Amino acid sequence: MGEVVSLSGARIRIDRKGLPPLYPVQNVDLSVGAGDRTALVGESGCGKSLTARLLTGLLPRNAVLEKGSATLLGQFDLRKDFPDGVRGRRVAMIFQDPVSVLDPMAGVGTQIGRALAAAGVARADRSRVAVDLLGSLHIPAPDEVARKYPHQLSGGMCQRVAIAMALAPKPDLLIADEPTTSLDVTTEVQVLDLLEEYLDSSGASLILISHDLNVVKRLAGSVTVMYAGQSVEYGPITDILSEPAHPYSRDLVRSSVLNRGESAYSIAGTLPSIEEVMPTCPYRSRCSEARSPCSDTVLGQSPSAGGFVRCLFPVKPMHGNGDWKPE
Amino acid sequence: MATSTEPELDGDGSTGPLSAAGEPASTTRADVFIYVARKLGALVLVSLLVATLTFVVSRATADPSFLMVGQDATDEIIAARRAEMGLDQPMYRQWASYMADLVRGDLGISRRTFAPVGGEIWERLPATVELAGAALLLSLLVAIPGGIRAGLRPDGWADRIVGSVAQLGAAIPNFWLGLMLIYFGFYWLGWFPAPTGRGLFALDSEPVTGIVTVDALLASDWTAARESIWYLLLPAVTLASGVMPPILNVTRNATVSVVNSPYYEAALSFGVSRRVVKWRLLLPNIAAPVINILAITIGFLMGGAVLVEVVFSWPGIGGYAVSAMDSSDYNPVLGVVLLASVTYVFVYQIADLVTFAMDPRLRISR
Amino acid sequence: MTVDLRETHPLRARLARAMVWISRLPRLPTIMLAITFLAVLIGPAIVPHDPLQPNPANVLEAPSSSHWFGTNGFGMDIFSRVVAAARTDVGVAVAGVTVGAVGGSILGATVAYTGGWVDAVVQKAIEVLQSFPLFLFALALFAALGDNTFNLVVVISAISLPWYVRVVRSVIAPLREAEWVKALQNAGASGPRIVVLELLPNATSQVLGLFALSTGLAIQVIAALAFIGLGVQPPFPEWGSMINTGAPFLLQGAWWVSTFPGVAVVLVVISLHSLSRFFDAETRGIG
Repeated sequence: MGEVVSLSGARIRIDRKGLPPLYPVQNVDLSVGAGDRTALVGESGCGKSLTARLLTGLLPRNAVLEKGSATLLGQFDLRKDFPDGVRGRRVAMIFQDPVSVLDPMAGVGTQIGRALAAAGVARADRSRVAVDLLGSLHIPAPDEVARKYPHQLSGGMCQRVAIAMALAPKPDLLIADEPTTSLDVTTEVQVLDLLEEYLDSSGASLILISHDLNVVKRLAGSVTVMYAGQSVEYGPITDILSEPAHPYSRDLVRSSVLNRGESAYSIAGTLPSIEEVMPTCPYRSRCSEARSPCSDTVLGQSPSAGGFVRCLFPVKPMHGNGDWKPE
Repeated sequence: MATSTEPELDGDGSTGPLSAAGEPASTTRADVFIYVARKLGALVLVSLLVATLTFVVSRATADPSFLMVGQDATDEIIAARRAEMGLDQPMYRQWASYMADLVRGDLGISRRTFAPVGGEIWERLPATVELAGAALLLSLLVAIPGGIRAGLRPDGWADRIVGSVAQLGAAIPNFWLGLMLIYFGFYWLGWFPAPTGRGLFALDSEPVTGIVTVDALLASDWTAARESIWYLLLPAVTLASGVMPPILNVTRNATVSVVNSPYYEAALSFGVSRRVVKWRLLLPNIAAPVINILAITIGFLMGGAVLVEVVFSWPGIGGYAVSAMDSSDYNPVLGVVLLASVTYVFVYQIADLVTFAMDPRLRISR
Repeated sequence: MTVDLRETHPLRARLARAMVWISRLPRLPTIMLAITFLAVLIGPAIVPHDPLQPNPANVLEAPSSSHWFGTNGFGMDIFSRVVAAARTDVGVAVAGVTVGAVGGSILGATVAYTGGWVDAVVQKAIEVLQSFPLFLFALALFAALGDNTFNLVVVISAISLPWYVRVVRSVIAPLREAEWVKALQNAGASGPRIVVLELLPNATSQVLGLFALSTGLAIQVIAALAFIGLGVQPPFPEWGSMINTGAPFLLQGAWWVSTFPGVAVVLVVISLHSLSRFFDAETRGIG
């Protein structure tokens, strides 16, 4: 299979009653091949989660893919209705808050059973498969856990149950939206191990959404940096972390906890309004490199080493290779 | 809790054991025992206070007319009558004997008929239960599917229709709606019988429950069943119009909050079918607020039935209370008020226990 | 623009803010309520006929150009009576609810501020009062107090008071431990002063919303009581008793006698409900 996800110039509009519409995703390019592990990083509100929901068919009812193209698993056009039988079976999602994603009124085994039913497991086998599945995620006493209710489990245990449900049908694409943000450090390591184990054994692709560059570094091979609904830079993880091309990527890396030795750095200014589509650089008001052409030039992509950057004045010298795509 | 449109219907402020204890990892048997005991205690206490209030009212109405001695009674006669009725006793004694009477089911004597009020209410109760039950059934059949349908797509067309119906239902006085239905259904269309009470003419068999429709069905007397339902329909629709809006609103709001919840979205993302999501995930999660509002509704039905019974000459306890009120015969009025209130208190607390038993977060863990 | 005004001229800013706020009120209900208010104020003076004048020559006349809503069994003009009744229904409702609102708000704020056993007792009392079905509670009160218009006001205030206690209490109780309240106490402000001047204003929008809602309910209760012959007595114009006197004529085909007063109740109550929902939305928007 070729590309698992291919987004090009994707723009999502959210209609609001009596108010102007919002464009939380304005211009996103994202390409994920089979077996790729890529990350979406950026400040909260940059459109990461909405992009993930586009790919799982869980956009809010008042949101539409207004512009651009989006293809899932090489064959499904997301401008049309989300295809049947894909959600949960071929694309699965792991969420940030594991406690609230489990049905409070149903037992763990029952809930995993529902996901197994969706994956086509026969009714008679479900409870056994559910226990096996929990066991395969290194959960001690899985049969006991299957009988419990979510409120009786710790956050880490709930996340493992949610992962069990997501991985049950062996999806080709796993989307993890801040999977370890609400967990403590020890549990975080265990959950990341589980995800890596699945990816290694199944060869599935991963889209990891995280603001924690340590987690990104651990799992992802490539990174798309998003700002104000735009993908501003894409490249191999090592390049982005060591010598980012976009000034925003540089500032983001600098402000992250990754560089513990340096003094804390925060980016001045605030995110621009998403009430209108911004054809020019959205970062220019906060950018240290901004010059006068930034405010009136419509941006295209320029190639960088193994990726692209959307900036007139990148902070590292551009290479000539990479596939150059004019806007 | 999602609140309804009417303040007297927005539940009580009492908190369940969950919020009292924060987020317990598990509930022990002792916790459950204490909770149930506290609920039963509250039940007894509130019933007692309700009865005390009717006691106060009954003493406030204890004027000469209440004493049944006639206009030209002398002071001696009045004093003798007061002594006979125990009104010369200290208040706490009067209260104690009032409570003792209540426990025995003695609600006093009707001034018009000189018959015990308890017996008169008992005779009329089946008619009111029939009307209220039919109205509740109708409300449930419309409001629960309607509320769920509206809540699944907030601001969709179904939500707008449901919203308008709920608004209109809450604003229309049900006695007026009853008259309008009589005008159209009986006078104009001629489809429905005259508002002359229950259709009990065709039933030959011995009454079992006293509820004509049920008795007719039990006796497989289809003609009688059809006739009694025919008579029941307009009053039941009228009464239902008043109690439906809160059920609609609560069901709709509970559904919206489940649909917007992370676990609903997550279940869909795991590929769980919409059918399973709707029946296995949505229904248990909206059950608690819906059961709560149903309990409140049952209490409200008793009060709401009064006017509907008057309009349709329905031979229930509401019409009984109103005609007693007309002739300043207060024991029947207070008897009906007491019965309705205590019923409400019971149903409400039982509903609380039911939701408690249903919620796995509150059940005993082994 | 408003912000500039506020900085330079507080009074004009307040006026401007009030104008902005009024312009956001739901249009139809506001117009309906304005008409009702006008009917309450000057209705009896401007109606085409004397609402109490029987006319044996014009009994049960169908709606026409001279009698817009027709005439009743005594030949009285129904349109004039519907308009004149606004003063009765809305007047009694507003009077009763105002007493209940003021009393209930002060009581609610006081118990919320005091806390402890006083709070617990009042809450229990409210729970007991609300165990009575609304309409039956009104009946019992009438039984105890006697049937007249003054007692109707008393009944309406008695049934609305608990709502205000509960709503105001729930808004203010969380403020009891707030730093600024403690600061006021330390500065020596008296309890009543804190309750009335500092705490109560926090519940303004909730009380406004409840006021609209409970006035609607009060109108329904007044009409319902009059329908069974309690409170306001015919021939005095009142919507509920007008519906009642028209009931027998419905079966003779004279639909207009009961219909129009009922429509008046529905329109006024539905407008009050919309206004109440608007206030609720405001509350949620701010909080």
